[in-house]
Amino acid sequence: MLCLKVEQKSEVRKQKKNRAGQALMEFVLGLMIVISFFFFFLKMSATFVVGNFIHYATFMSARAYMSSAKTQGDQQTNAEKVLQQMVGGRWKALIKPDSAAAGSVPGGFIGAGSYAQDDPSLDNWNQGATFAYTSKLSIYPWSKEGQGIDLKLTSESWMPREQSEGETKDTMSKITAQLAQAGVSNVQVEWDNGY
Amino acid sequence: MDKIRQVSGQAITEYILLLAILVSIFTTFVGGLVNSGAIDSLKKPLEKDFKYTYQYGHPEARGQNDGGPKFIPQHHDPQNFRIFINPPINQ
Repeated sequence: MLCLKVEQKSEVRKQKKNRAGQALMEFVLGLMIVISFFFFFLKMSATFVVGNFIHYATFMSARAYMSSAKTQGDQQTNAEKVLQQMVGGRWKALIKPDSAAAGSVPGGFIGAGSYAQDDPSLDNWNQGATFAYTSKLSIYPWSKEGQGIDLKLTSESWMPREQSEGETKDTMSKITAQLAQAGVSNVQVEWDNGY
Repeated sequence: MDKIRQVSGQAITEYILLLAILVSIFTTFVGGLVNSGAIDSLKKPLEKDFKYTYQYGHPEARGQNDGGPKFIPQHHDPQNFRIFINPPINQ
């Protein structure tokens, strides 16, 4: 009798263990869905943070392009250096720079935008830096290529560009020539570079 | 004792069969969502609205490459005028 009771108890324990296994399986299956959502939102948040930093990077690059230098080429080089330093080759797990961009920095472009015109009274503002990239948001970690959300984003920062030293000297010599042609002798054009 | 073990095996088999049915229903449901375009409508706020807000500062703004210019305030065209209205502050 005692032996039978002991055997029954051990059988009850086995059944309890079986139920624990079932609960574990259900927990694992549930956890897969929860983790999928968790990592999707985590990656999306990281993408937004990086996106904000890229906005800042294009803004800093556009500032460098706006600031005067010896030549326009120097202004472009300065802007490319800033963009390269801030976003070049970073966050490879989160962003893929657009290969179609024509600049020396992958995904970046520095120069005149599609609205830029030579007339300063019109759209002289449309000069600066852009950075285009794709960020893939996977709904499931095991998503294949082509599945999920491909966020194709472009950061644009436009500012008017100051004339370079070379361009300013050209303008100065043109004004001097026009004054001489007009016979004005009491006006002297002076070079003032601010220091 | 042997009988109890056999019953336990039956429960596992039933569990697996039930799980297979549940997985089939889930797969059919997700497949239906994809085919009906519901997933695409869920993607739209990110792929369209957020994209244009990120690039131009407004979900309805468009650049020249996107059929604009539209709502680009710096552009000289007066059609691009736009007012930035802050939401009302409830006190």
